[in-house]
Amino acid sequence: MVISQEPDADDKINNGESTYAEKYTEPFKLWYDDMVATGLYSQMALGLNSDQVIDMFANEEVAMIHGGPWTVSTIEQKNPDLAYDLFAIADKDGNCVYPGALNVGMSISTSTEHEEACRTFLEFMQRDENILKWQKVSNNAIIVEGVDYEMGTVFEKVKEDAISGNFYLPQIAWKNSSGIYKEVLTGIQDAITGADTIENIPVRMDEKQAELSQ
Amino acid sequence: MKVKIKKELPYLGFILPAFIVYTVLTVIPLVQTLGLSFTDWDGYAIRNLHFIGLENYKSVFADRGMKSALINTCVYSLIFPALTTLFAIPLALALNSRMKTKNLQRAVFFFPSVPSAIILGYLWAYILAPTRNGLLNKALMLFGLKPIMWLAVPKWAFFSVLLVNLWGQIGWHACIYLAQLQSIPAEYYEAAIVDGATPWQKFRYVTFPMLASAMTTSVMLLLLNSMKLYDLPFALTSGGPGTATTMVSQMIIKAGFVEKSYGKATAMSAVFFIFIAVVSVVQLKLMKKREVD
Repeated sequence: MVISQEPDADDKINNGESTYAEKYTEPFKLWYDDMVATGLYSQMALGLNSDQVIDMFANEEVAMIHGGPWTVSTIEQKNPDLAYDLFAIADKDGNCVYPGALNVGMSISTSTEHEEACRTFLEFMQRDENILKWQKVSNNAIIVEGVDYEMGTVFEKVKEDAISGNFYLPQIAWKNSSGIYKEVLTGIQDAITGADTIENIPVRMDEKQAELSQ
Repeated sequence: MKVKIKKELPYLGFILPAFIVYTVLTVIPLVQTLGLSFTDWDGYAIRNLHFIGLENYKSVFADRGMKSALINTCVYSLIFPALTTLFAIPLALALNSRMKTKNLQRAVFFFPSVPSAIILGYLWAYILAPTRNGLLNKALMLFGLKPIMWLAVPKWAFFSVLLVNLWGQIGWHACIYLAQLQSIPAEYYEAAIVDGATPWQKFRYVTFPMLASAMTTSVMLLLLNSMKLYDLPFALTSGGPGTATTMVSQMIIKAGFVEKSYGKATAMSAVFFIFIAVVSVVQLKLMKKREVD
């Protein structure tokens, strides 16, 4: 919601030109009003771990979950006949962005004693046939020119968005991302239980940012 | 003096390896932590450190999460030892009775203390699942009661951590009391019977005072377990919902390894160390007075 309206919002926050309170208060409130206040997102979810959530989705006990390519194999193992689909997050104007990020990259340490072996391994991984094998193992979208593949899952329709870069994960773009993201998760739980308000979460993020930037 | 040292040398030699290990793994890191808490250490190399005085300590006491964690830890450390002692003593008395199955029952009650707290946490997360499919909620619904959102409501999440830890620890602490019970001379009870004591009076005037040393040890272990609690709430609730079950130890780990604020984490550790030391000393001093010589 933030990025589709203003792609450099997080950059502005990171370099001090803006704050989380300015950019994220309205989106948080929209999310809370649409998902929590309506009862779509139950407080019960706070007491479940990710395995239980996927179990409940596979057993058709819950309508929607956050997930990714890594959940597909578990769902299909538990309930191969489950009919399900996925959708991107939309803003109020209908612009859609998929929450996601590039997977971890591979690099060779400058202090390694096995540089040749590392290079050989990277060259091995770069071959088209091995890229395809890696894609099958990870179920992720691959953005490599000239490599044709099928995801064979509900994520097939995500391929074009992956190639065009229509995905974003704010928490990895944030400065001091681990600490800020943890504060967001705690704050959302506090807002759902009534221990805090949803409007105060961006304020807490700014406070945490100030603390971690010292 | 020289003769005394020469006499003690073999014994000092025996404890030297343990002393070295203890010094290297505990004392040196402790002193280092205290020193680093006054610097802007980045968690990596110990060079280019700058002395920043009490800045880390100021940020510790200004941290909203730390205040909440401290309250949680203090409340937990008051309730958990009291509850465990309240249940462990009667259990020990029952396990010390002349039941035919007492050996089996001792094993059954001791068993929950064997698996690690992480395993207990993950296991009980399924039993206490806040949905209708959670085992405990299914049992409640069998009796016509409404399901409870055990891990999703702050007060119930806190209660759940207490419950699981109680389940895991009660057998182990009953064994401490059981060992003490078996060392109480039978003559004391015979004298009490001769004096016409009722079962309650025997417990009140013979058993309970004689359990004082076991209680000192048990309560000290329970207090330490409570104050440094991390693995069980982490596995069961991840410290949530919100900060309802976040303890001080989790805040320290979060500050150090998640937020990379190593200076603040060392200051938190130092404050917590002093807190635990004071509580332990006070507890030992108060409870040792009750012990029968």
